[in-house]
Amino acid sequence: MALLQISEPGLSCAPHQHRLAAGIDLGTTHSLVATVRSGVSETLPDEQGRHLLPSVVHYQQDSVQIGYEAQTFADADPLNTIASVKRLMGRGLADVKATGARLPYDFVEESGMPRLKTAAGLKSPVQVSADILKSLKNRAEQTLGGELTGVVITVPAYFDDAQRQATKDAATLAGLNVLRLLSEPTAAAIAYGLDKQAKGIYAIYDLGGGTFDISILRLQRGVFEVLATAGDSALGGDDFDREIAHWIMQQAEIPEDAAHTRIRSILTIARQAKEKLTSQESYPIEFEGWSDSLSRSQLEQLLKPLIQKTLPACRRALRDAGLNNQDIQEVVMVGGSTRVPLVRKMVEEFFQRPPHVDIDPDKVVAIGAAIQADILAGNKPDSEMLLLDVTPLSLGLETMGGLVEKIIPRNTPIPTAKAQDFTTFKDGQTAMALHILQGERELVTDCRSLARFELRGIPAMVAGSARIRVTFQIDADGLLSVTAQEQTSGIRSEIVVKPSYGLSDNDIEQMLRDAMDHADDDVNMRNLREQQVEADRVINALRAALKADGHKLLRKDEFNNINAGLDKLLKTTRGKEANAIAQAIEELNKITQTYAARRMDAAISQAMQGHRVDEF
Amino acid sequence: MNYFELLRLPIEFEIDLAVLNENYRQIQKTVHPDNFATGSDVERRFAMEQTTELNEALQTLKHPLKRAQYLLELQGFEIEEGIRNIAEDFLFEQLTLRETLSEINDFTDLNVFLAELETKIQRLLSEFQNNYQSKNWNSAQETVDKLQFLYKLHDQAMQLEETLA
Repeated sequence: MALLQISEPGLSCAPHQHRLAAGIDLGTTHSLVATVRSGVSETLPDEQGRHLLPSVVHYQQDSVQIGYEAQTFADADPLNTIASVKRLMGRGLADVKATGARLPYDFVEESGMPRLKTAAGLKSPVQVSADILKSLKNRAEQTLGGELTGVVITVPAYFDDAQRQATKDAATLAGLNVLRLLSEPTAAAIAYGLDKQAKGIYAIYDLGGGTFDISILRLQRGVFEVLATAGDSALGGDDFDREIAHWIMQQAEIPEDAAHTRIRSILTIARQAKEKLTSQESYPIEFEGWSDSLSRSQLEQLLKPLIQKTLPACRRALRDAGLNNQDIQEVVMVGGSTRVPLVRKMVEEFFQRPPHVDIDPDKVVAIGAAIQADILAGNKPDSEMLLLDVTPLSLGLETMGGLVEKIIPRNTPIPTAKAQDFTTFKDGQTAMALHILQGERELVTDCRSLARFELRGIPAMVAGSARIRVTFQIDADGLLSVTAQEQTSGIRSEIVVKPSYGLSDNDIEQMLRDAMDHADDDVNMRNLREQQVEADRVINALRAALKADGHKLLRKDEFNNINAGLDKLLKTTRGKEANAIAQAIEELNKITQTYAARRMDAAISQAMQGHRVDEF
Repeated sequence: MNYFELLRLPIEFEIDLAVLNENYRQIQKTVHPDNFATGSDVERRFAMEQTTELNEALQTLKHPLKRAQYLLELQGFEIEEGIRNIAEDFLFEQLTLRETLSEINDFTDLNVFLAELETKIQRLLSEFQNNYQSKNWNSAQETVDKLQFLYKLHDQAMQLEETLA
């Protein structure tokens, strides 16, 4: 079969027809839009010449302000001024409450989704993001003088399915055609790589306001291949500010439970100190009559433990890529927090080479996204550029005993599909619930639930004879769809995974960290669960057999003997000793050996009389 | 078309990974869904299917154990996870290795252990290569079974490395 029999992509589009396309960096603190003009990718400023748009929306009864204008209402009208909405994307109300303790908004629940109560009515995080996107769309269309054909929107590499889906929904709501969701570090690599005709292995270290991503890419003749990605989704410049603020409060003897407004002022001072100390050696701090100065080396002592936390993720990404730090040819810094000199120093030490900081770390992501948007829109039919990405977190299914069967491991290239066969557990079972999870741990309770669905109408069969093939498909945007099919009957069930909530940043980080801390616990727990599942299977099968022909094939003492073994296994199963359960199963197997042989004989002689063996 | 044909490689155990990667990238340039971002639904779905298969092929051929298993599959052997007829002394060695690993709590010991493990894996891989070339299928299959143990142990050692870090 020919590999592909479709016309070349560029051919269908009329020559010289330039399609307007844009790249959008939808950030936690600010957003940008960029486009390629005369072969150069650049961010677009507003009428006042400002490139950054604060990701803030202010709602009034019949008007909406976005960006700088909205920001001015933050103090006077906090409940109607929504900032950092990116943290709420793809989350359920429970997640929002757990992670959003610092968010001063009125939340209400509506069909499982969190909504923000504003003067303009209830707003979902998707709607708020859509308002930011609309503003950027208008800016681009006014600057370019026409309607956008399509956009590329960037997401953190660590965004899960729910967060990606929510981002795509926001774009649709804003009237944008999404050509692709693109990982932020990959976008940065494009901006750098194409600029420099680069070749080799690149590490992209992306430390923003609230998230950290590390991606390892191979660049070769315009192909950007992500080899591995890792991160710490609850680490960024905000944490730096908090650490400095904590120091100020200690020095100035301000209690931890000081009024919210005071803490907010201290945080502002902390951020200023952090920014000034990127170029100055010391910075005078004054607060409510207390004054002192913070030196760069003092600051570095405060920040070092936080920056250190990014290094295990770097190691993990390297390991998943099958590389070590000498294989890295270039290191690229992205995100505002990489302006901190100590970050650069420690990254340089880790990778043993000075990192690149030549493109404005705030703009580089949008610039890269615009380059890809231009190509995807069909403006460069002879472009050699291609992006190959991976899925950041392992995907799996719940199996018996509360275990997770991993179907797609983290860092698998996408698009990808994996099929796995499952079987029924009980005789005559006609339905099966599928529970899809994301995370690295082995127990369901430690992973994050993505979606549940049910496959009904499985033909009644003996336990273990149904074949249910579950197929996970992750597309090039990192979005998941799942189908399940019973192989012998062809019964099919399909869902696009669209859960009402996704993983919180903390959860992702916690899950990864837990996976490392509890590797041992998991193995023991897994053994126990496996033995318990096996014991259940043996007990069910034996009970069914005894009911069917136990009295016919067994003498009374044999019957009692087997029953006693069954009881013993039942009791052991309730305990916590995997070995004891395994032993009890083994014993029961020995006790029932003769019975099994007799059943086999009976089945064969039945079959000889014209019955099929599989009826038994 | 099998994965070797798809990636334009000879059906052999010892393959050139640089050629594998290069061919993969070349084919991706034609089939990847990004080439059809403004195309029809049918085109985009077809592109996704093609790329999905290509990615599966890459993952299979890149990993020595998966490649070995796949080669046996092409020979008509069914590959199942788990123990078949593995020599007792090998199983005993596995138990010992597992015990050694469970007692490791620093990087130096772990690195020694990993180096030893990797030597064993390399030896089995060349054993597989010999068995495969001389069409000694039973031995080839036994080697694959053994490799499953060692790679699993290797994964566990790597997990430990993360914990130590």
